[in-house]
Order: sequence, then structure tokens, then C-alpha cells
Amino acid sequence: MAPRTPLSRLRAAVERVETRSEPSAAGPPLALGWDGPDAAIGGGLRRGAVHEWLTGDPDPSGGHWWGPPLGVLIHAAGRALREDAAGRRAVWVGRRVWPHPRAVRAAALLERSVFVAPRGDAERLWAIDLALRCAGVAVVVADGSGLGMGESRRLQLAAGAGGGVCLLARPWWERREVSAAWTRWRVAPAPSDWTDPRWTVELLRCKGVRPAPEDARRWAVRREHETGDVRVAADAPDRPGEAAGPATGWAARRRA
Amino acid sequence: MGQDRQRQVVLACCESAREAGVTPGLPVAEAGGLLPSGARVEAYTPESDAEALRAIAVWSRRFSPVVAPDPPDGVLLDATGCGPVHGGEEQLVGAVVEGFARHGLTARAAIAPTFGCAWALARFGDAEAAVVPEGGARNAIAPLPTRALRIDADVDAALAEVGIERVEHLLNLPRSTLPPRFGPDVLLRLDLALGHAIETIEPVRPSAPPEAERVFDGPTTRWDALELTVRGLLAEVCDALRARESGARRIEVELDRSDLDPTGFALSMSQPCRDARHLWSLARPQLERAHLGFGVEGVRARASRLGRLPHEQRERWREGAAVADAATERAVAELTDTLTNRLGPGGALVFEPRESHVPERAGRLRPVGIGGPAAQIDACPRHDRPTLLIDPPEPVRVMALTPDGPVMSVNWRGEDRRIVACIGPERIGPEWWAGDRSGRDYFKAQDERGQWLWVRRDTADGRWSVHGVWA
Repeated sequence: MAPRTPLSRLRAAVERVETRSEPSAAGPPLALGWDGPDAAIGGGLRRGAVHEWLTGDPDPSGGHWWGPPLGVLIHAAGRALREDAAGRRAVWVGRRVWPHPRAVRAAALLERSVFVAPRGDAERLWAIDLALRCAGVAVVVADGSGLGMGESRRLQLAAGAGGGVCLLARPWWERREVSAAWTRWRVAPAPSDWTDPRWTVELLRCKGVRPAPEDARRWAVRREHETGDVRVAADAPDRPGEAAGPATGWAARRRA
Repeated sequence: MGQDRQRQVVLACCESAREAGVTPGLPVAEAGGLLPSGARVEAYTPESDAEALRAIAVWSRRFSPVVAPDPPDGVLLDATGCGPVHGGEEQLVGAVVEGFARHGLTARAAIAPTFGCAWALARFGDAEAAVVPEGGARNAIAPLPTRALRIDADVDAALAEVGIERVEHLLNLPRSTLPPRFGPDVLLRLDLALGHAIETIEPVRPSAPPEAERVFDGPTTRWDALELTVRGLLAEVCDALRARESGARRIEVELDRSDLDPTGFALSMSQPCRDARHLWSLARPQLERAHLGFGVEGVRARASRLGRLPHEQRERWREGAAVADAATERAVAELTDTLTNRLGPGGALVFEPRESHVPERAGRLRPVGIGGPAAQIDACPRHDRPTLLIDPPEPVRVMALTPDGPVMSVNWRGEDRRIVACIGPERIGPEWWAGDRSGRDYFKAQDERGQWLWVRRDTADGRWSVHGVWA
């Protein structure tokens, strides 16, 4: 909406200075369909920006294995394509982030996906950059392990030029690595008595948003088997005998 | 309509005009009286007729690879060996007639052992489409008028004067008497029709693929000169493609090096393309890698595979959504081309579903642009499947209640995981036609941290492995 009076223009300018953010030129943010997280980052994932998703064990001693949070990534990519009228594509860079096709419930997502197999770190970075700059790509899901600040900055610029959403999966032990990503999340499995997979999603950082206290930036989410969507599990009863609250998974680990 | 002895006469007319009483040779003024108003009378232009005949010959290449226009009104096809493709020679000749009819043209066709015989039957035979078997040429042309032998009109008139009206009359005369009485042409034409003399035709060739070439004054290794040249050549090829409303699927660039064999590279596109900028972005990395030797003396670019690509202006007439779709498709095609040209054919893949219950065979990733369009993907069975498939499955040590029963704990990647919830087993039978020897039992097991694992047990040997994770 264009500000009409000088006062409202000034107000918008002050707001931009306060939040240190220009509204994205690439369109409205990509809502994840999760009320709490969406509200915390200004309506959803910003388009034309990089979003990092960290998973795995706190220490790399566990065999250095980490799996990208594919449940959440499939959900976000599916939402990005669902509301896209021009039929743009989703590009999955790196074998590690290729989902099992039978787990992708949205047929449209599978039909409009391109899977890229780079042979090394340099090619992976090049492929992510190229896909982000392409006008026919709505979302790039990529293996973001081993990226430094320079590479991260390059991807952020490429995303800004192309207007797509970039979802990078990174291992948790790289959390100390500086990055130019717009938002940073942590996804950890959460135990429950239910048969659907559940995770705790934590917002570690969002540009232009003041950090919330720890309890207010953690949410429990669950994957619906039928649709493949991931939803906030507000009504989820927790494991009996454990402390209530979305941080059950964390509490359990600390005790163990 | 054409000139004949200072009169304008009808040269050819259509079927409905013939029904109204118009015949070739009639003065145009008389014909005008017979025809309803609004009938079209056009001047005879041999050049445009020849051009149209050539177009028909090129079109007819779908029936046979060797086709020649036969002015003024015929097309000769070498149908040797083409019959089986269409299911027989009768079917082939029918397909030819039908194909012309679809374009509003009336055609008569004949297949015969010789061009002369087929020519005669197509024009003077009884049937619209005729097939003469091998060795049947003599019988087939015998009842036809002598004009069917492609002889001049005055020779034909001379034959008629002595009462020779049909080919069989000629066949009954001694061969040696024909040339002195009627000239050498009659015997030659007769031999051509019977196959005693060999007739050759000049087949039409489809226009050569667009090609551009530059030769340098002397060998050069200068990058800027090469860049300028290759870009110029690609632009030239694109211009040629635009004129034909087609795009290149593959372009070959060849560098002539002094004192060395020529080198070169190829650009392959998943969709027809004639955008010089995109082609250059594909060619540049390959040109950078090319070994120039002592210098390049000449550069050649050739579009070796083409595809249809309508003119840009057509897109202006499309609907808004279709324009956006087309722009997206083009952008995606450029992306996948660039990826494939750098990463190889396996660099950019799309999903192709398969009907299989075995998880690792649930689909196949195939290179973009190879094979048909994307298949329908909604027919997948809706079982609960892990988001990440670990392929090949990783062997694990498992503690279970019974040898084939619920999982109690899993040691995966050196870490003991106590299982707090276990669903299963889900049995997937072996696909013996694909070479499976063992079925599997799958358990969906949750460890105490909340991570769900897909634990697999081979029914044949009882070995356990982790095959997937709900990550």
C-alpha cells in the first residue's frame, strides 16, 4: 500500500530504519502456515533471501552424520509452489537434500522439481547461485554445509537478484559460522506418543527482529502423514509424566 | 488460364468447374459464361507452379526418403522398401491419396516396378490408387493409350494416324521397326516403362542446416577475437533459425587449428532455442576449455538438430497466464541447459514415477529434456514413507523382542538408541521380476529423542538395516 501523506511516509521510513529492512521487492513473504513463527518473522519467509535450517547433534562426535530437516523443507517448498501462478520450479541442489519421492505428497511439487547433482563444493555453490538467479525458480532447497561468510553473502545477493526463496540445510555444528542468511532456524526431533513425526522448531535469528526470549521462539510442529504438511502442534498432548510445554525434546535430552 | 495463339484459354480447372462444362482448351471468355459469378480465374505462372510442386515433394518425404518433383503435375517417389513401414504397398498408396485429400488436394497414385509404369497408371489407369506387382508392368500398361508413355504430342498424333492408339499395339510391333518410323523417343519411353532401361530421378533435399563460418587471416589464439567471432557466428545461426521459425536443439562449433586436427564442442539444449545470448553463455565455458594449439585459423558453427519454435510475435497474441508460463518454461530451460552443459547429462534431473512398492524403485530420476513429458504423478500409493531414504540401507545391530518382532533398541552409526515406540511390521514382498530374492519387514521406530527410523529386516536372512529417517 502506497503511503499517501507525508506523515505516513515518514512513519514508514522510521519503521524501516527501526527494523533495518526494506520490504522485499520480490513479493509478499512466504507464509509457512504456522501462526507463531510466521508472526515472529513478519508474516513468513522473506522472498529473495536465504533461510538456514540447522539440524543434528550439538557435538560432531556422533559420526558426523546429519540429515536435513526434509519434513519442514518439503512443506515450505510445497507452499512456495502452491501459491505460484506462473508455474515456477523448485530446485533441489545436492543429493543430500533430495527427498524420498513417496514422502512428497503434493504431486505438483514433484512434477515441478528439478534435482541437481553437483560433483563438488565449488559446483554446488555455483549451481545454487545459478538456480537462485533464474526467473523460473520459486524456491531452491540446497545442501548448505561447509559454506563460509563469503559464500553465504554471495547466495544472499543471488537470491535478492532472482527473487526466489533459498532454503539451506546446514549441520548444527556449523552454528558458530557467521552467515548472511535472513533467518536461521533449528529443527530437532521431539518425542511424543503419537505416530506422526514431531519436531521442535526454534528461531535462532531473524534480521530486523529483536530476539525473543527462549520460550517465545520455540514451537512444536508435527507432520501430517496424509498431506505431508507440517503444522503447529498446539493441541498435542505430550508424553505422560514429562513436563508440559513445547520444549519437551530439549528437556528429555538434558535429562538423558 | 494461359495464352494460346493470342487467345486466353483454360489450362486447368477444378472438379466443380468441370461439372459446369469447362474443359481445358476452352477460351476463357466462354468459360466465364458457364461459371457462376465469383469463380476464381488465375493467370498461369510456371514459376509458382514449380515452387508449389517442390513444396509438395518436400512434404511427400514422409512417405519415402527419395522424392523428386515431376513437372508439371506429378511427384515421383522411390517407394522401394517403404511398403512395410505402412503395413503394405496398398496401405502406402492409400495413405498418399488420403494425405493429399486432408490438404484439399485430389491425387491419383500408383506403385509400379518402374517410374514410367507408375506415371502411366496414375494418369490413365482406372483406379485412384493402383499397385502393380513386380513383373506386372507389361500387362498393366498394355491397355493404356499411347500418351501414357510420356511421348510428345506430335509423335502421339503420328501414331494415331496409323491406327496405333494403345500401348499394346506398340508392343505387338517388332522393336527394330519403331525408331525408323516414329523416332528414337518411342522405343526409349517404352523401355523405361517396362524396365529395360534405367531411369534416375533427382531427389529434393531438405534445406541444409543453418551454418556459419569465418576464416581468420592467420592463426590466432587471441581470446577477444575468438569471443567476437563465436558470438557473431551464433547470432548468424540464430538469424537463419528465426527465418525458418525453428530453434536449435544442438549446435556444433568447430575450430580449425593450424598444424593440428580440428577441435570442437557441442551445445545441447533441452528445448529448441535461438537466443544468441543464451547460446553464448553455454558456449563460453566450453570455448575457455578448448585447446587452441598454435592458433585457430577458422571457426564454424552448425545447428545439427532443430526443433520448431514459433516466431516471437506469436506470443503477443497469447493470454496473460500463458505468456507467464512460456517465460517460466524458457527460463527453466536455460537453467537446465546451463546445468547440463557444466555438470554433464546427469546434472539436472526430473522425477519419473514407477509403479513399485519397493521404496528405492518408487521412481526414477531422468535427465531433463530426454524422454517424453512428465508423467502423471498422482497414482502413488499413499503409505507412510520416510522423508529421507538411506540408499543403500545401512546395516545395524538390533535388539528385538522376538527374532522378527518389535524392535527394542538399535545401534546405528555407533550410537545406541533405545526404541520407545515401534509400529509394524509392514511387509513388502520381493519383486522377483526385478531380481529380488528377499522380502522385507519394515518397522517405524521412534528412539527416545523422538527421531523416527525406518528399520528393515530382510525376511530371507534376518539381517537388519536402517533404510530411512523421518528427518
